[in-house]
Amino acid sequence: MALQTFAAVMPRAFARPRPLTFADAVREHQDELFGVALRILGDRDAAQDATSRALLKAFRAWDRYDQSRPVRHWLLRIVANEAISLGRERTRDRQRSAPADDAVDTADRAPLPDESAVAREERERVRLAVAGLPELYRVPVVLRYFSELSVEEIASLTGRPSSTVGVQLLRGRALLRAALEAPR
Amino acid sequence: MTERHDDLIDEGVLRRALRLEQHERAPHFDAQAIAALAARTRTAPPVLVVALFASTLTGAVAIAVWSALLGAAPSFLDGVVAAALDGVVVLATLLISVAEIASQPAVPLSLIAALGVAILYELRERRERAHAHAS
Repeated sequence: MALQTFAAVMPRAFARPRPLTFADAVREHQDELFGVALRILGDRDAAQDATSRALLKAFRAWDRYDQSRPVRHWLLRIVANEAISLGRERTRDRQRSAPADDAVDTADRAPLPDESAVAREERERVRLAVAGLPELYRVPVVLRYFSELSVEEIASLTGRPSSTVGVQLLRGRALLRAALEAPR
Repeated sequence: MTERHDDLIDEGVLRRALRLEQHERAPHFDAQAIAALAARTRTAPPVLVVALFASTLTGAVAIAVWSALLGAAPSFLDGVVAAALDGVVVLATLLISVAEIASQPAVPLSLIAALGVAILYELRERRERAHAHAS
């Protein structure tokens, strides 16, 4: 009996782990990827667009992806870059067409009946302030306080020195504080 | 880093605000649909072959046209230069005959000049005589 159990367990113990598939990665990380895009762009449709584009790029580059490195960071880098470029495209389009169509109008405002209206409004204000931050500060702020990446991880993901990321986080928080204290 | 700590937004506030709300949950991203889209939007090998063939053909046509132009250019230019030279020769012949007449006239120019001076002198004399007769 023991021998049979041993024989049944051993092949599994020494078997090579199944390589991560693209479908696994999408299933596991899609919420976070969408969240990062949403917090960078401040708009649900744009975030969905950025996430789709990022996943398409990831799929095409999947063969070249080094599986020994964390897929989460790789995907986060792609989605952050896609969100940044989509945000720039939208800014250009907005400048060309309508004058006043900022994040305040585009952010989601679905009601949440089971929550305190004050707290909800406060969170909404913070989110809008984040969406209004310059891109230079917005991306590290989102990666730090939404994705909970460390300063070093953000540095490796964005290609900036850790000290720069640290300063950008502080500056971003200061700008947020100033934006929230400014009269509405 | 010049920011004082009380000038910064609280990290907890920031985390809570950035967290996804229930109504913000991600839509479902279907890996198979993404794969299908990637396959659909990928440039197909036949398209690449056609593009390669078209660019090669265009290049060949351009080379042929250019070579033909270069081949035809000498004979065409020969004709143009010959016509221009003929014109120059005709013009030069005319100019030379005019210049010859001017340099070697049949009646000496000095004689014509002397005749002119004599005519002018005679006219002046007659005018003076007429004035004298009238007064």
